[in-house]
Amino acid sequence: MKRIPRINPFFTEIILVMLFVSLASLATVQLFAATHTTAKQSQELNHAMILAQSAAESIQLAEAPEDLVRLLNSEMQDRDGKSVYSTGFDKDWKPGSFEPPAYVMETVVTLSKSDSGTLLQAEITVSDAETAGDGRVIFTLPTKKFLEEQK
Amino acid sequence: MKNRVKKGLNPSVGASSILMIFMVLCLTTFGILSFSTARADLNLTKKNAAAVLSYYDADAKAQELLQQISGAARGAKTTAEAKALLAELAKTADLALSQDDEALTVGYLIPVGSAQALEVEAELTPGAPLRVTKHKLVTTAQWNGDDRHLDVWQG
Repeated sequence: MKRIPRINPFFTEIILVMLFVSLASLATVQLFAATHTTAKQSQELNHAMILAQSAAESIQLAEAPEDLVRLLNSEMQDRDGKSVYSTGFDKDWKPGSFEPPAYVMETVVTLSKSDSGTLLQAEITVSDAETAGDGRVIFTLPTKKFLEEQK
Repeated sequence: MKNRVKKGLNPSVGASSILMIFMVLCLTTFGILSFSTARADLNLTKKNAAAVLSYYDADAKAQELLQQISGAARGAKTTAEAKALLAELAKTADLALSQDDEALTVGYLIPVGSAQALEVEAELTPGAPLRVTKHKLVTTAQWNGDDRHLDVWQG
């Protein structure tokens, strides 16, 4: 008499369970990846905002455009007639001269002179330098400071 | 009788399914919870960023007004002369002018969002540089809690 081979129901169940777990894991891994991206975005925006505010308040302390080198603690570069002050940061947001930096804060300053004084216009941009191309802008803060001419 | 016992289900069958359901439920619950927390955090940060931007936007307008005030009052020899020069500007820029013996005080409010404003006051003395005497955030809208009742069980 020929015996018909029987499949153990336990193994059948295990195979089905593994299949279902792998499918469910796909969905949950995507959920956790989205959480990580959102949390990173939030953390980056928070850091960028604090740094930009700090730079804006430093600009408010300026009494002359020359003070910006000292106040922003970075060298001035001339770009298309505009003064650019840039600071690099590592991935933990520590400032320094890193090659290449993880994040970059650029302050573009333009001066508009009038009879009464100079209006200093600054645009502070914090961007992710690791992103390919020109970098992804995280936060931009425009600010102005009026420097009255001495009477 | 022996055949019946053999055909009955193995007691271990179903345990792995129960464990899997529990595991998937746990993973999904924790995943959704962490995602909603991260989303709420990001929304709060974005609101904070919007508040920061509106503050610095108001501050920029305040600085531009300071430049206009300084420009308009330039050349005034006396406080009365400065007041007369600023009267024109006061019509368009909503400035409050008050004069005492020596100095002319110019005040203005720049709205920051819907419930706050940046209050700036500058003192103008002929022959002396413009002196900012006040630069602060003030509340412009009164909070009314009467229309926000909590649905509390009264017993």
